[in-house]
Amino acid sequence: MSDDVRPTIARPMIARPTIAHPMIALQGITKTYPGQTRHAVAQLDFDVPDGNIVMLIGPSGCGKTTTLKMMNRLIEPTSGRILLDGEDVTGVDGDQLRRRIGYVIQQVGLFPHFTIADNIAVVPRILGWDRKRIDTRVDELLHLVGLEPRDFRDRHPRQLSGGQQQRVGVARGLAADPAVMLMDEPFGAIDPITRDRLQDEFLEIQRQIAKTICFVTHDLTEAVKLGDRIAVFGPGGVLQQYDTPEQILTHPANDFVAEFVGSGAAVRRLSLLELSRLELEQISVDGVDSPNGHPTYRADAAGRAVAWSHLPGVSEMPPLVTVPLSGTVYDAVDVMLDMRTPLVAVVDHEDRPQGALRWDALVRELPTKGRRP
Amino acid sequence: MTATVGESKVARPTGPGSTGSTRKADRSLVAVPIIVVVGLGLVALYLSTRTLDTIERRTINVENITARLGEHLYLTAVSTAIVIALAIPLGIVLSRPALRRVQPGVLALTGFLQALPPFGVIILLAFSPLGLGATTAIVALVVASFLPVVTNTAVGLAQVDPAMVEAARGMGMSSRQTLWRVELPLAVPVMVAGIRVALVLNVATATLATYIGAGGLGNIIDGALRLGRPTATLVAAALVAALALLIDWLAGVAEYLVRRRSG
Amino acid sequence: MGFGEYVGSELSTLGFYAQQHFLLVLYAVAAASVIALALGVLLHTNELTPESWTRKMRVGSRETALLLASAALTVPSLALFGLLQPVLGIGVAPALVGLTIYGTYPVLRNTVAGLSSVDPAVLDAARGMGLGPVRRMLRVQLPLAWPVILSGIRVATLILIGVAVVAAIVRGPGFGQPLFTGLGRLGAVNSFNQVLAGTLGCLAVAAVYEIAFFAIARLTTPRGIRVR
Ligand SMILES: Nc1ncnc2c1ncn2[C@@H]1O[C@H](COP(=O)(O)OP(=O)(O)OP(=O)(O)O)[C@@H](O)[C@H]1O
Ligand SMILES: [Mg+2]
Repeated sequence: MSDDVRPTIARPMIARPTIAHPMIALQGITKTYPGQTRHAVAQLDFDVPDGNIVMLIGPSGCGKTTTLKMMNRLIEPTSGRILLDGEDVTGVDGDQLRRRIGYVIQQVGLFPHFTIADNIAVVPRILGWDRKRIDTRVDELLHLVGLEPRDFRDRHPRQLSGGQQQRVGVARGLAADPAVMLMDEPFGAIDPITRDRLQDEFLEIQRQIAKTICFVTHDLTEAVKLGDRIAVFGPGGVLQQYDTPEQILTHPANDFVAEFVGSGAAVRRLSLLELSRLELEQISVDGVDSPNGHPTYRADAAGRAVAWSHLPGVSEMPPLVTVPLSGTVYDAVDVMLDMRTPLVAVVDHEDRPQGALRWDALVRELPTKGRRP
Repeated sequence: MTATVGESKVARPTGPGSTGSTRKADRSLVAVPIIVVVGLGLVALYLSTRTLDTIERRTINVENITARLGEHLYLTAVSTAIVIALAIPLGIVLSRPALRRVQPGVLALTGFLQALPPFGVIILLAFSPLGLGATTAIVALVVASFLPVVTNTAVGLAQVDPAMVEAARGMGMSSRQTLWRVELPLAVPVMVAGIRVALVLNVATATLATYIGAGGLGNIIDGALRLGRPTATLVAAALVAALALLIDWLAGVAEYLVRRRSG
Repeated sequence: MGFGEYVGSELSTLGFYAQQHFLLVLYAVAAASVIALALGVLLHTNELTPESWTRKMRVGSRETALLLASAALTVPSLALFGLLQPVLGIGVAPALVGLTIYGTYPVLRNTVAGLSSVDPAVLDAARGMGLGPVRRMLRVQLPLAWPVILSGIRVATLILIGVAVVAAIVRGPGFGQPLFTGLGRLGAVNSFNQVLAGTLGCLAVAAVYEIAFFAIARLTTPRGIRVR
């Protein structure tokens, strides 16, 4: 575990305060359920920095839910202290505390006798918001989780599919716009495509509002995609490693984490690396430069690449395929395999080529720019 | 008194002494005999502190109590046996797929008929060709506790998760095998809980048999009420309650043995 | 005299009995429901209740209350009214008290079962959003348990309609009166009609209650948990 709070790969799309102070701090937390000899969580020390997403991951029964529930004092720790924004919350009123913290529970737990709108409005009502504000908020949140308010507002939970219920659960957790969110496998019952979209939207929201989020998942890909940091739990509720996704994938702290991360680690790591951070191979427009050193391409009037015109050492020209600079190396590999081409052109947001990435370079060693700009 | 305790909406009906989970049920299997013994002991203690007057001594004596208790036992045992033999199979038949469609209607009717006062039924039967006597009383008791047992049997079977039945049929079990191996074992707790209450109430209802000359412990109570001797009422009431609790306990023991055998 | 003729000639008396019977049961069921609901709610515990001596006390009291209420059912109604007489005299008072004692168990049992059958995930979510114990009980648990509680009240009502006739032994109101009169004059003119009228009268009262319960269930069951 490093003491450095900033991740080594910060994804530039997340605006984050430069000095992140811990929003949630667990200090020496141990939980033993009554009548149990084993700890559910043992000697847990970790900080969740303000505005970060921390992913909790680990095998079933290793204390992830327990840890989450101790953060909003649904469960009292057997020993240890919990600080929320610097304040010791071990003594404050639990209900007041929980109204300030959004909570999405693993089993969804929508109120079956309330409509969807009423379910989302529970906490705002307690907090005494006025009707109009609540209505607006409910519609806004339903849109956010991809449910058309007109269709869904007045339905009851049992008239929704499991995945739809789960999305309402997320909306309910977000309702009062809490600064801290605890989410227990919020996307567990949702199909991969919708989940992917929700994850993207989730990151998008996070970029705008930068909440502090603890997020339990069983899906390593999700953890890597969403997390600023990942906490890997082992049996008996022991924290095995707490680090950035990159560190977890490249330098697992022990055999357990290595095993947990598994053989797919190398591929997963590619999705952490954005193309903008690579030292790309230089390319130029056909006829402008001498064609001998690097590849050249033909461009249209707007400066967009149309086709390769010269590739050193290649006689048969492959089709010109482009990948945006904001994509990851994983995306580039995906495109290369898909289009059966040994190289791709990397373009900026106006589709102007910035460089190329070759399969060979990928397999040898990825030349990064060193420090990020 | 009759009672349908297992309503379709009742999550887990529990009869006297049976409080749901197996462990608790086991505890009450020990508790009930103790309660009965202690209760009867207290009544005996109370009696020993009192000197009975002549009228009281005429009813509260060993011969009279034994005779009335014997009659009471006869009435309840025979009616209970008949009800169990007839009502449980009928409840099972009602829950067969062929009759599923009429079941809600039948259950609504049997539920409604609970309001039929057993007292009225007993007296009305005395006007029938059966006349006065123990046979009439037994018929009346059967009529009174028949419907609740049918209802509870059917309700117990109806609340079995259809997915289980589907799974059993899907594995190739015949409808009879499904009934015996899946539906009945799963329905037994709810069924038995309701049936136990009906049988307990049957014991209490049998006190009314005295009004058509069928004897029983009701005889002592009725006499005591006429003559204003609450002590005798207390003794007889305690005996009826003890008998009811013992029958409930026996049912509990039977249920426990069945459940342990079927795992 | 045939039964129809008898009913025709005694219509106003029978109507009066019906009204008495209906009200007697109504008051007794109301009292039993209030007692059982209060006990059930106050003594309710679940996994979320913190481990403490009050919890143990509540669990213990609940089990005891259930045991006592169910044991009360084993006391024959004839004896119960008889035993209440020295204390409460004759008439409405012992009838009401006796019926209340009988009515408590079905409501209490269903209240306990209904409250504990609420999905723990729903309660966890409620607590996670900062709903306190009172709000949780009033806004979440009671509404969700209500159909089960209501069906307990219905069962109690139907039982009490049948038991109430025995209350006539202590001069209680209702259809027990023609029943006992008929019994006392067994074989005399109209004795059969009296008994039959008393018995069927109970069914008539029950029919009114059934209609009322149907309407109440429709009106008070939250739409989201209604079985169609
Ligand atoms: N209320 C409880 N009483 C006793 N033991 C419990 C309780 N809740 C959880 N446990 C135990 O504590 C351990 C941790 O449970 P927890 O729910 O935190 O696991 P988890 O990591 O969230 O698992 P999953 O991924 O399956 O959701 C488990 O061994 C579990 O059996
Ligand atoms: Mg969990």
